[in-house]
Amino acid sequence: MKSTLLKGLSVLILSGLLLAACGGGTQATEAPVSEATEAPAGEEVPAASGGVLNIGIPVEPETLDPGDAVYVQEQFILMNIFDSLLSISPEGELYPALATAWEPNADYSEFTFTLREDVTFHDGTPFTADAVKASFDHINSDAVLESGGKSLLQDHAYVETVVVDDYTVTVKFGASYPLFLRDAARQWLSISSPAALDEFGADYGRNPVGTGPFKFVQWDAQSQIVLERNDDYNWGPEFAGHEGPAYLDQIIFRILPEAATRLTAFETGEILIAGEPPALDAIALAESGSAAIQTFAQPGIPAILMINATKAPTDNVNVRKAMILAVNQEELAQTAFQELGLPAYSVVSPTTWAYDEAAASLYSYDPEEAARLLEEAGWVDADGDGIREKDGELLTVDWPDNPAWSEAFNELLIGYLTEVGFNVQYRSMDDGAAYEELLAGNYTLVYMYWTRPDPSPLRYLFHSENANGGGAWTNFVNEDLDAALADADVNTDEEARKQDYIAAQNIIMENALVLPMFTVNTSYLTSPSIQGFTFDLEGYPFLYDISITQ
Amino acid sequence: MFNYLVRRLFTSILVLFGISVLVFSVIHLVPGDVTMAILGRQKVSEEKVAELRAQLGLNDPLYVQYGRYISNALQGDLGKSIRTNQSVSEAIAEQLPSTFALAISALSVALAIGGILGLFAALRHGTWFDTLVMGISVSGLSIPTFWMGLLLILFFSVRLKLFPSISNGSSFADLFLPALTLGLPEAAVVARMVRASMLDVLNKEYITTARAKGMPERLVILKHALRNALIPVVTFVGLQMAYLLGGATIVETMFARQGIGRLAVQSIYSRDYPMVQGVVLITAAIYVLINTLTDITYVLLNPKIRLK
Repeated sequence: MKSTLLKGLSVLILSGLLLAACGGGTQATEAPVSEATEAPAGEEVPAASGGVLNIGIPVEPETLDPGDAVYVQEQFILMNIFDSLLSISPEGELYPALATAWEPNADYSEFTFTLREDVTFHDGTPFTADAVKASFDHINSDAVLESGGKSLLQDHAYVETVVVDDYTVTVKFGASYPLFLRDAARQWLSISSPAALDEFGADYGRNPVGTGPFKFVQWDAQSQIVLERNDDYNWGPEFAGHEGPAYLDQIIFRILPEAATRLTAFETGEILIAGEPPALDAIALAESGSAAIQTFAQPGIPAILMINATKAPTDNVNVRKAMILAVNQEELAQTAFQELGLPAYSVVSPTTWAYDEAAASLYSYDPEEAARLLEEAGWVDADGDGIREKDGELLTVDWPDNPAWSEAFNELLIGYLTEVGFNVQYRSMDDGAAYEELLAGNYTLVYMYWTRPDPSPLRYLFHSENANGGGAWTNFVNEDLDAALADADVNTDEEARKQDYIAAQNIIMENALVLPMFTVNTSYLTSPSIQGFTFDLEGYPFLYDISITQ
Repeated sequence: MFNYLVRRLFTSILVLFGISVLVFSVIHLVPGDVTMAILGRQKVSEEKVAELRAQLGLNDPLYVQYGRYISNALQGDLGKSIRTNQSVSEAIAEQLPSTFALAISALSVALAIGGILGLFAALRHGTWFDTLVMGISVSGLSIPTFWMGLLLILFFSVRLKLFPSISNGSSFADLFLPALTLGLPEAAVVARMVRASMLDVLNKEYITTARAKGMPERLVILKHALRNALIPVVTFVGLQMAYLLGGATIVETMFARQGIGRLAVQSIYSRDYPMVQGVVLITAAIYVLINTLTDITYVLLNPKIRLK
């Protein structure tokens, strides 16, 4: 695995930035997923057409090249400009998109797609099999960083895309890739205009051309990204609330990094949707009736601390268990995020496919049991200073971290650990410096979080092939765990994959490899004039169905 | 005169050289490796890190790296942004007009409000009006920019819904609140300066002479007093312009405006080294340029300086 060395960095930085994009840990949720996704603008109710929707987003994208994009804000914008071969409904079902039919071979290493024949790109060029090939080849090329889409292709040994005829295409991999059909529905693998890829070259990320419901118009750095309706759009997903072009004339993503600025702009009506509002203000506005809070508990890996299982004192499983038992997750989430917080109890969040309740029920807050386990492991507080020690060593856990990602939470969490006698050495630094500490092995705890509809990131984070600097920061080696995670990646039988993930969750929690903290939520404030607000599977607002009432 | 100019230009260049060295080395002294920042978004092997280090010339001695940096910079090539892969010079060029528009409009606010208040305070020296203006200007100087901005947003945007709270562009409506926020504290400074300078001039003998020969008071004030009183103010304006370019950072952040101040903040947060270097270098160059021009103008206006 030549490319595994720095996997961890991408994961670390990605997770951090994702969280940054989600408002630095600001959580808000009342509605579980099912509620958040119900009632799209009904087909019978004619939604108001037209209007300009201003949306305040907290983080400026770095690029709008789907192959190069990684972050939440990029995907939120990309999904409006681009279509993928397939699409996934909020319930997780696969639907046709640019492809009308698809056929994997027996071992899921080759996929043949039949394409729609009535689609044109925003630049007027027709969509054909050549576009699929050009897009995937572009994503796999050196022009694109080894992130997002490229890692999906390269991790499964992308071989080539073969144009069978104008409207039939076969994508070939060197290994089984049972998840490809679902990945082919993600923004990272969406289809670009070959003409635009040629024309703009290295600047394509600032001049994206797709087939989506909105066309890219302009990007004023640090200020706004403007999209306008694609009037020809007639290939929306079946599960959408309507057919034909989108309702909105224009979408303007206003880049507003300051939470207070976003909130003010929302109150003055300059933006009708505000991404990641401060929790308390959002609740107050919602209670006054001048806004609705839309929240979505993100699937995947919740915010966790990965515990180094090869470094003292956490090389002892009892010490790790004591850490989990010492923390009152519910109280913690409540204190940090008010009634909008959601605690986490496992390595996978409840909205994730193959989530296992049993693994999440192994521990519940019990400081006495934590103290007992620590004493059993030989850690006692002999000198009465509140910190346990053994053989003259303090019970120290080392946590190098960029505080930007979860500042409100850290101090509370450290409080619980200190309560049972841990000496938490929290070292505040930026991402690059923190990563160097991880590579050097100077850590006990590593902050992590990864949004994904299924538990597949477990492979990166816990398979021992990635131990010692490759992203599996627990450095824990267990044959059963490795076998389950490796099989889950390639097994073409869905039920078998599910059982693999369930086994993995249980091994991880039984061995107390992570300290679960909170489920990452995405939240938006919407004005009462916004109709038809829904989330997609990964928690991005589905703007195609949205309309504005005057 | 010529000697003075040469000396002044030479010191400016020296200052710029110092700044470039400082900017260049500070970036290399911060903990953490620049390759880590660049590769932050991807999964790569050790070979790739080594390759990138070689490609960036990070294995060369520092003075060679500096030489390369400065010779590229002199040709307008400030490198590429780590974050967006955009050309740094282009990114800065995109943001500069907005900052200039803000600084110039803030300066206009400062001169208009400060000038008028200062003038009348001087003419009504010792009256309640004078005391009031001086009182207001002390508060104006003491109020932090961000608080002033918040108050203005609350009143004009949230309450009256007259002006946008997030502004972009250079129309009157877009610039009104940001220019007030940045300009009002400056107006306080201008008011105090104009007042002091006017009072000084009004006590001069040539004013008494002008009055004695029966000149109408309005002409005395406008033609003789104000003109002379404005000389120190003009110098001050040059210096303030440079100051406003820097002070724009908070206002730009507050109103989510485009601008180089915000670009600098964003780049520092994301460890976008080439961008930070570029912004600091360009801002410093503008500052030095304005200062130099101000000094030269001052010399042209006031021959006494040349003798020193």
